[in-house]
Amino acid sequence: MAAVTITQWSGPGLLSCIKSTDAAPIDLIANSLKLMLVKSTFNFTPDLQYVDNAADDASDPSFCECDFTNYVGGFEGAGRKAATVTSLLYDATDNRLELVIQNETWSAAGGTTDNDIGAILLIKEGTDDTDSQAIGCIALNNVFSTNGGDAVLDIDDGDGCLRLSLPES
Amino acid sequence: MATVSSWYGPALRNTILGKLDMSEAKMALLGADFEFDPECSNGDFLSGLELSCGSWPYYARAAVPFGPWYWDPEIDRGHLFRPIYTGTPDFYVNFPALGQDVEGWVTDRRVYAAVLIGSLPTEAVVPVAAWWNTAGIYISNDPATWNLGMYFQGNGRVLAIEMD
Repeated sequence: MAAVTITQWSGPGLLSCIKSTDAAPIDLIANSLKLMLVKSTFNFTPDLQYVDNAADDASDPSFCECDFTNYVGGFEGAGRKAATVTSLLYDATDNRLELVIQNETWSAAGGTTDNDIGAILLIKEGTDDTDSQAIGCIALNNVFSTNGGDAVLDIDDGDGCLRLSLPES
Repeated sequence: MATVSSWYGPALRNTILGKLDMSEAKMALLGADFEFDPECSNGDFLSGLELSCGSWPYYARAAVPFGPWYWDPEIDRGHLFRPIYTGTPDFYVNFPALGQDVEGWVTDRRVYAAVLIGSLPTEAVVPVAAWWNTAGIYISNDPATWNLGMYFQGNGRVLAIEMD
């Protein structure tokens, strides 16, 4: 997969990071987070809160999750890989906070059943997909079509995959 | 009062990790020689720059009562901000009678920066954001303007985080 430059946070997910008193707080460093692949038909909006929003349309990650050969989707599916946060640091040059996630590989992706992968979602699974929280969407520069080869998520370790700007006024 | 403002980067990081305590946030005022360092992670620099009661009668750090974090999906791609005094349109951080003295008024004195202070479990004083004016803000000895106030618009976007 191409390097990632287009990313977006989930507003509710980011709030759950900030509010440690939240009913379901998210700790980007201490919690077990996962990466799930979604098809190019998925349309991310920043108000996305849960992996399964029951819409069963383009706004619903669980509805748009990949199903190519060797990818097992669904809650706790093996296709959802652990996200290893390597750093969450302030970049003084660009005046922003940058979250860097370790590169990840989906081996022998597709071949029999193929998908056009449009994005990777950073999530925290709960008890099922209806309470599994979306944190951010890592959209690909270009759609990646599986063909049986490896699908490699190549994170920009210089600029990170999710960023927060510090507006100066 | 300010012409420039910005977050401190380490404070934002701790905010995102849910560790920054703003329940007893305060605003400190600083004299000349303030230089904003966005990588600063502790409040040690305050001791050499903060106004002192000796030369600034009635100076004390002002409490800043924050409301909860709020996300507004309607603004651009979404901003997170923490409103000050939820439900009230505007807000002032007041430093009452700053400079007032029984023997007169301090004159020709200026305030150069204000630093918002929060805390961490491991650090009592953490700089969160700063507002500064390199020319300084003159504190008048006119009794009508004894109170120095920092004015914020009520939507609290003064502490916005932009989802990049």
